[in-house]
Amino acid sequence: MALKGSILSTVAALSALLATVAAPSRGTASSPLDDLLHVQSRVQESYERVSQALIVIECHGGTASGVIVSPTGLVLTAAHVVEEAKQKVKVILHDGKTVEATSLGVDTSTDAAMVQLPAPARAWPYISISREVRDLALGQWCFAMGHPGGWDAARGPVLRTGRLVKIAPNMLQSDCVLMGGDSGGVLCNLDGEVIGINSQIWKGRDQNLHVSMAPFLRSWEALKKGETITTWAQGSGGWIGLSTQAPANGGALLIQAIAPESPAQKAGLKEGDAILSVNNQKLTTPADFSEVIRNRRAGELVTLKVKTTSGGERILEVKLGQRPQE
Amino acid sequence: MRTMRHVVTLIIASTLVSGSTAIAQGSLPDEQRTNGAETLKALAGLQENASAVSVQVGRQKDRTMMGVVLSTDGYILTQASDLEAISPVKVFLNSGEAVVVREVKRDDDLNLLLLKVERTGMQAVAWGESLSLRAGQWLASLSNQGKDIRLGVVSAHRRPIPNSGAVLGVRFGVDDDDLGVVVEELATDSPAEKAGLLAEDVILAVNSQSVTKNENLARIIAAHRPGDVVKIRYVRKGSESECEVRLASKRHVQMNWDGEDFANHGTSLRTDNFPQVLQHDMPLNPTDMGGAVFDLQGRTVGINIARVDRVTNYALPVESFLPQLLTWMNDDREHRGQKPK
Repeated sequence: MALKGSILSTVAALSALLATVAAPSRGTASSPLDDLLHVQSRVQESYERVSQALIVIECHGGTASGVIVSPTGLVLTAAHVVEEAKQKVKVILHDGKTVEATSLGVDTSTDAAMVQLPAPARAWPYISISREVRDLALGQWCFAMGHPGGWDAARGPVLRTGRLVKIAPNMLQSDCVLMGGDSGGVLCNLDGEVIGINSQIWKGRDQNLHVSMAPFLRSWEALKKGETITTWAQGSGGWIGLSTQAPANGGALLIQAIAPESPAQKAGLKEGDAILSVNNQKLTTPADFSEVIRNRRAGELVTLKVKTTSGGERILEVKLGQRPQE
Repeated sequence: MRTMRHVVTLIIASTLVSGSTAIAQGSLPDEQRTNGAETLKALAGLQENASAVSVQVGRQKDRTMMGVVLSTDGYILTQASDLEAISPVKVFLNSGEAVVVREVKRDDDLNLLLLKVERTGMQAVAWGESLSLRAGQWLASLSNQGKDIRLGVVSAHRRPIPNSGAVLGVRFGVDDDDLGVVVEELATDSPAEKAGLLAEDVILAVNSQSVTKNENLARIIAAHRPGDVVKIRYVRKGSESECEVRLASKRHVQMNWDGEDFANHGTSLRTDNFPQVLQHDMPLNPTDMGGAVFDLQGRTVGINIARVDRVTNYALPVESFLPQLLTWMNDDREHRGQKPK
């Protein structure tokens, strides 16, 4: 388990540096027991829907899990499950029927991967992913589902309810206990949205790791196209090299700082310029801006509409670069 | 690169301003986790009640399984297969007092053991029902010699668990009629390994029945139940000796073969062949088996019967054993000339 150990310690180090943490939200005047019962009813409300979107993936002589996230049959799973892009895999659906599917992209640096089911007769049962990666809070309740040990019709999918224990840039840790076969299965928030994909375990019962939605969102199009991502730089998304701040009175975001030799500087952007839109999308917070940029890949062009400090409006095309290694 | 670090800092600072109360911290403190002290405070009342109706069963105080008090006159229920390894047993009450027991009934189908202590005025469990339980329902049980309470959910469908058969946990070499059955390989932590068998030992007989073929041996073993003890006569480096092997479920041993047992924290000897189970995800140990499964109202909805793997415990639902249990208790009272209660 040395490999698992070393990956885990990397995650721990990163999260110690970068995890942002909000105190677990406390209910109003309810008792702790009521809080637990509330969690129970939220999990039970989502259980059936998540069960139907959960699948078994069989390939390379092993068995694992996956979750359908679109009516057209896009599946999120773990990279170590499918190993490579464009492979045929056997999928067992929630009702026990089997179909042949194809692996799309894999991101071996974060263990994120996608699989495509065949065209649906009507629409595949699916659950939505949560795009609010930044809103995750340490201690928040969540639940994991998967098919540990493989398909078992009498048993059905296996549920575990627990809490987020660690939040790293690409990885979540929970105390929802996982084991072999759970890989590629789902970690959901209490709205029944995907917040993680089951990835690996370490020996401790609280050491269960899930790929967060961040690497999926960052490389969504690349993964859908079947690309293989093997390094952090390639997977880290587009980089523009500027920071923004929201003016106190609202209105357009202002450029606060520009990194030397960055795409922003090369395009002629200046500190103090107001960003009116990115690809015709109005943005109101610095976090929204950085997410829009990070969700695009290096090499992509983005169109910025800016108002300069002298009052003129300009439309600029900026080719996103790769974040420089520190 | 100083400038970049600056930019990163700015982004984090902006998030802090726009977000609510973000603080930098590594991981959730243990006490705030699902089975941490802070979370479990919600179950303080339940734990008190659970302790009052639970006992420890074992040979000595630090080596026990859980048991449940069924009646004020001292009938006690526990799990049978793992207890046999530590018998003869006593019952340790909450007070720490050790009490002698009489075995009333051992049921191999349910893997239950009914015991009796000569006491009156004991606090007995309040039975609930399990038929309305759905996946996601919270459940709780005592753990660690009854000292802790553990929280978990109903994690899968209620179902019967078929028999995978009893095994020694060895792979055999090629048949050699003149010798006996050659042990080629042993699974880690398997019944055979625990009994002291080694690779290259040659098995001559099982329970005094001589064996020369793999198939024969396998058939004799398969006729037993997990938890049963068989006597194995074998030759090692020319000299004969005998050992006792406590058989385990095939599934239990299979996990060791596959190298998947490293994070299980121990499993029960018998993990299958049950008429009906509730599956739940509490972080329990094999020695917690025999204890009651409570709903959050403190009613007993089942008995923990097998620790299966890292994510799985089986409990017998109350409906699957209670009618029989009451019959055994009443038969015993009548047999002993007492009035049924």
